[in-house]
This record gives sequence, structure tokens and C-alpha cells, in this order.
Amino acid sequence: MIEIRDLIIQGNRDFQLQVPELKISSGQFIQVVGNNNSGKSLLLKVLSFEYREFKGEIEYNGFPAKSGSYKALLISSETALLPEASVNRNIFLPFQRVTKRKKETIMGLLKNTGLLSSINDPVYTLSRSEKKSLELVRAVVQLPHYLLLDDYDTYFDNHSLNKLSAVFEFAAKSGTTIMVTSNQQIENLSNNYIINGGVLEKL
Amino acid sequence: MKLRLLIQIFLLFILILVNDGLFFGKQQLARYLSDYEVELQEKIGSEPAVILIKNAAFENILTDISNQYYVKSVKVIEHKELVELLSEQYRLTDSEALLQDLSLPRVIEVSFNSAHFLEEESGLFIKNLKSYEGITRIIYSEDNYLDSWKILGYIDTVRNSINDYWKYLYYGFGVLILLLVLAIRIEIEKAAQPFWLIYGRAGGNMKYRSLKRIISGLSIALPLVIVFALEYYLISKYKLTLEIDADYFMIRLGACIIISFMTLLIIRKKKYV
Repeated sequence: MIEIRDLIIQGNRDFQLQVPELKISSGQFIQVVGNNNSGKSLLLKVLSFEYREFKGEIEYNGFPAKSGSYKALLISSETALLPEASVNRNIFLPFQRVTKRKKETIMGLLKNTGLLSSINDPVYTLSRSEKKSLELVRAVVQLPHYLLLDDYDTYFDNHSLNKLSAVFEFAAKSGTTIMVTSNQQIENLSNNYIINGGVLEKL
Repeated sequence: MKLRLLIQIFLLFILILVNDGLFFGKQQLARYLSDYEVELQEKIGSEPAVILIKNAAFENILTDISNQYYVKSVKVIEHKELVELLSEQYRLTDSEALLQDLSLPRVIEVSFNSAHFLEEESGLFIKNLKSYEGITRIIYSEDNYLDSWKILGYIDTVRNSINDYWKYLYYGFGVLILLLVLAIRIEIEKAAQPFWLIYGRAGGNMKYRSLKRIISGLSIALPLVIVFALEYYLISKYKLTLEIDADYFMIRLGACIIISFMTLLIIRKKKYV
């Protein structure tokens, strides 16, 4: 479990995001709502150790968190896919070896998201939503502790979210916590947070 | 990326071959020049000067000539031998007994030390004999040696030029190879950067990335080792009288590997822009 106390993230110029308290347990689905430039992406980057300009405490299982303490995968607005390569190449990109079972799982999730029919197509032919779905499938099958999905509502509407339900279920079963950011609240979940005036508050 | 690595290996393979070719070429050329020089020197040595000396001054002149540094040997043609030579030359076999009683001048045959006998020494030789004018006669012509001296002069010039400039060419080419290694490695690592960025964001193992970078960095050694093995094999198989510059090979290999890994630092600090 990640526990954050009195965290101040220093952004560009005078911007700061304060996180007085945040606890993230395993298997949760957390949504952080906020306007543009409210610091949502910065928070995800801090949690994935991509951004280190902050003060305060971040602990993981009672110890100060550092890179490698837990596996967090960030799916940001920048696409982390090889555009010229096929869906197949991209889905297996982070793996050196893939067991038959894992391959079956991946193919099953691709089928649920409707990407299996495009398995040999180059990624640049996919829509933005399909690209993010591909990244999401690739991320969950790595069984990370935390899956951080930025600007969630920009890519997925209700229709595509229905297609991704199997992916989210798989993540939940695997104990992966999914933390998403969006401009507006999509689902009425108990773990909803909002960034208000530079401070993260629980809804 | 694989294509870039193959091009890197092929390009370096050719460059290393050319670099080593310079070394072998120098050895071969030096050997050829040396053989040709010996041949010309033998030619000079095989054409002696003949000097006729009046009996009274013979011993002094003989000693004087024998002591010159450019003289290899002096052969005294004995009276009997001279008579035989004359009777054979002029078909005077019937008069040989008469010739035996004649007071002929002493004759010596001077062979030159070809390594030291050049145009300058020829001048000294003639000048020296002029001091004995009236008591000696010389059968000698510089024309016999002119062509050989000219070629020996060329050989000397070529050899000096090789000695003066060859190292600049040989090691300069080595430096060029290092600079090319740097440029190629930067190009390859730069081209690979977007891939590794995506790989990292996709959740790929960073240790695997490091391992691949090390392998990619070490791949620079491959063409060098192949060339070395090829040269060694050809020299052994065809018993070529060539020597591999092993010290230079090791230094070049080490330098290429160091440069190859320096590239990673340059890329990390983005100093290539």
C-alpha cells in the first residue's frame, strides 16, 4: 500500500500541488478529477518515479518509496507504441519470454477489446482509443502494482469502456490498482478525488 | 536497428582491412625495395675497374686503393695470367714464350663495395687516381653504373618518404577509424533512443536495455576480431612472409571499445547535438 502524507509537488513556475493525505491499497480503482493544468499528470508521474520535484513523504508498505519499490506503469497522453510495428510486436514489446498461458491471456484480452482482428496491422492504422486500449492490455498483463492512466476520459467513452471491462476485471483480479485521471467524473466510485485550488481532496 | 548494426560491422570490416593493408603494403614494399637494391648493388659490384700500374709504384698504389672505404676487393692479375689473357685475346699462342719475357705493367681489378659506391665515390675514385697520372691507366666508365645509381637514388627517396610519412598515414587512418566509430555509435544509439524510451514506458526491463546496449557497444569488436582471424588464417595457410601488428591491433581494439562506450555517456548527456 502506498501512503502519502504532506506531499507538495513543485510544477512549472509557481505551480504547486498539495496532497495532504492519500492511501492507495491494492486492487482499487481510483479516479482523480481535475481541470486542465491542475497537476493530475504530475501526481501520476510522481507515483511512477518519472518526476522527482516534490517534498513530503511517500511510503510503500511502511518504508520510504523509491524507484523499484513497486511496479507502476504510467499510460500517459504520449503514446508508448512503435507506430510502424504491428499490434503483435507492440503487445509483446516488454517481454523477453512469454509463456503459453500468458500468450493466451493476452490474446483473450485483445479479443475482448476488439484488437485481435488487427493483430498484424501497424499501430499507426489504429484509432487513438484503440492505441490506448492496446497500451492498457499490455500494461495489465505485466501484473503491475499500480496502473496509472492519465486523461482517461479523453480516450475512452462508454462504448469503449464496455469493451475494456474484461481488462479492468483482469487487473482487479491480479491485485493491480488502477488510478485514472480525468477532467470530469465518469463513474460514481467511492475512491474519487478532486484537485481543488491546488489541493487533492477526497470526494 | 539490425541493419544499422550490420552496416556498422561491414563498414568497420572494410576500414580495418584497409588500415592493416597499409601495414602489410609497407612490409611488402620495403622487402621489394630491399631486394631490388641488393640486385642493383650486385650489378655494380660485378663491374670492376681495371687499372694498369707501372711496376715501380705498384705497392703504394695498391695499398692506397685497397684502403678506400668504397673498395670491396682488389684482385692482382699476375704476370702469367696476363700473358695468357693477352695471347688468348689477340691469338698469340705461338708467341706466348716471347710475351712471358716482356716487361708488362701490373694490372689490378678493383671491385667496389656497392653499398658505398655511388656517384660521389666514383668522383673520389677518379680524383684519387689522377694523383697518380703518368704511372697508371684506368679502364673504367661511370656509364656502367649510372642507371643503377639513378634507381638506387629513387629507392632511397621512396624509402625515406615511406619512413617519414607512413606512420602519419597508418596511425592517421586509425584515428579516422576511431572518429568513424564514434559517429556510427552515436548514430546507432540516437536511432535506438526512441525505441528504448517506448520500451521503458511499455514496462520493459531496464536491465535488458542495459544488456542490449553493452552487447551493441561490444559489437564494435566483431569486425576487428574477424579481420584479425582472417589475416592470421591467410598468413598461416599461404605461409605469407607478413607480420601482423599485434600491439597496434590490441590498442585499436581497446580504443574502439572505449569510444563505443563513451558514446553512451555522450548520448546520456545529449552532447551530440
